[in-house]
Amino acid sequence: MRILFLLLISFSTIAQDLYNFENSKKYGDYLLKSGQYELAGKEFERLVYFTPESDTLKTQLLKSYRLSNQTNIGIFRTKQLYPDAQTIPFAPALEYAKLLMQNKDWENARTFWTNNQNFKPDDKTIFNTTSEIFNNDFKAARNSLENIQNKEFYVAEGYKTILEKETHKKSPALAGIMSAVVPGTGKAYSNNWKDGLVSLFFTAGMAFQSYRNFNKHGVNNYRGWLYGGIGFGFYLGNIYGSVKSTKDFNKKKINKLQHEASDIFNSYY
Amino acid sequence: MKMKYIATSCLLLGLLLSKNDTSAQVGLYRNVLPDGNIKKEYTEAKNNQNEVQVLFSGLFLFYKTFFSSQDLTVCTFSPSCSEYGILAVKKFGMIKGGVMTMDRLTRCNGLTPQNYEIDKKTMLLKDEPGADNAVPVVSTIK
Repeated sequence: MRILFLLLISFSTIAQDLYNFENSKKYGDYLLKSGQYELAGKEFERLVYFTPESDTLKTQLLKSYRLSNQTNIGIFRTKQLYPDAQTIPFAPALEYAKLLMQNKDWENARTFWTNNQNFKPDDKTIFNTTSEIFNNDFKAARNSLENIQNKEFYVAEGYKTILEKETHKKSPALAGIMSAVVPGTGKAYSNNWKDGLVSLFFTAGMAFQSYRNFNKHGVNNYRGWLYGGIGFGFYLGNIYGSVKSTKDFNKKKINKLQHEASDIFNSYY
Repeated sequence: MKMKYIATSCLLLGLLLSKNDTSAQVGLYRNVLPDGNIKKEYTEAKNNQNEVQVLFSGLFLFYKTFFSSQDLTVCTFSPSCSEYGILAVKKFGMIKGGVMTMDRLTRCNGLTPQNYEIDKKTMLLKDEPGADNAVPVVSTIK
């Protein structure tokens, strides 16, 4: 009886409500910072239900959905929370723009930030350029970046450097021609000189064996034709490999530039 | 003299017991360790759509059964060159798949591992026919 009395006293005086707004917000922030994005999304849904007028909480909710890769839910919830896309405040609008970009919904993304009233013209230009860089359309990105008003804006300067680097690509056609003339040189051109050397040895070895067998046994014997056929296969494979190797080289380079652009974008927005 | 008999019988008894013990231990692990006669199933050679695929799957199975099974795993890639060959022929046809396989054979040298990801399961270099190795960029926007 005494224990029950003590418990009742302690609960009624010093106990706290873990599910009130303040504690829920602290927990939601903790979940978001510790990378538990799915749980954070559920917690922020409760918080947004508590205070539907708070833009900060709505932004955190959208961020949770974006980081937990639930982009479709995030886009759907934005449309519910802000029925008029043109008047969405800056912070949640930025999250919505990122959600659309993550969903690779380039057309809708572009329409959204062009019509939104809370983005500055330079922000819109940077968003256009970013989406075009992510969408591998570097030519359009160059055109978009020319519309920037503040020339000293460091994001624009960073993008300019990235777009300049993009022009230094290697030609797959040249690699193919090089490999057709001297096997292996196309791969060496795309910085894979070790693979090129192996290709040269394979093709040259088979060609030499074929030549030797034709000389020794004549053209009516199968040996020369067999080695020649295998060598021709290596020769064709090497031309195909050189073109693919150069394309991969360019793709990796573009991928690296896209990551650089992503870093610059995230450092500012 | 009596001691000699006792010692000999003890020794024989010990040997008998130890032999039983060894055979018991062998019996204990008999079904745990693989005996090396496990039949492999090659999914690459299944679900053939046309005669060319049947022919190449047959050649692939012949190579795997009579040649490859007698050798160690020496290919640096996952899937191996023969598996890549049959997959490429099935996906891109006989001519392009064949050319891709010849290219793969020249790349199977282990000299440029920096160009490929590592398959965590087999700890070999990952290279599938027609795979795009680019890292997705948009999902990294934090």
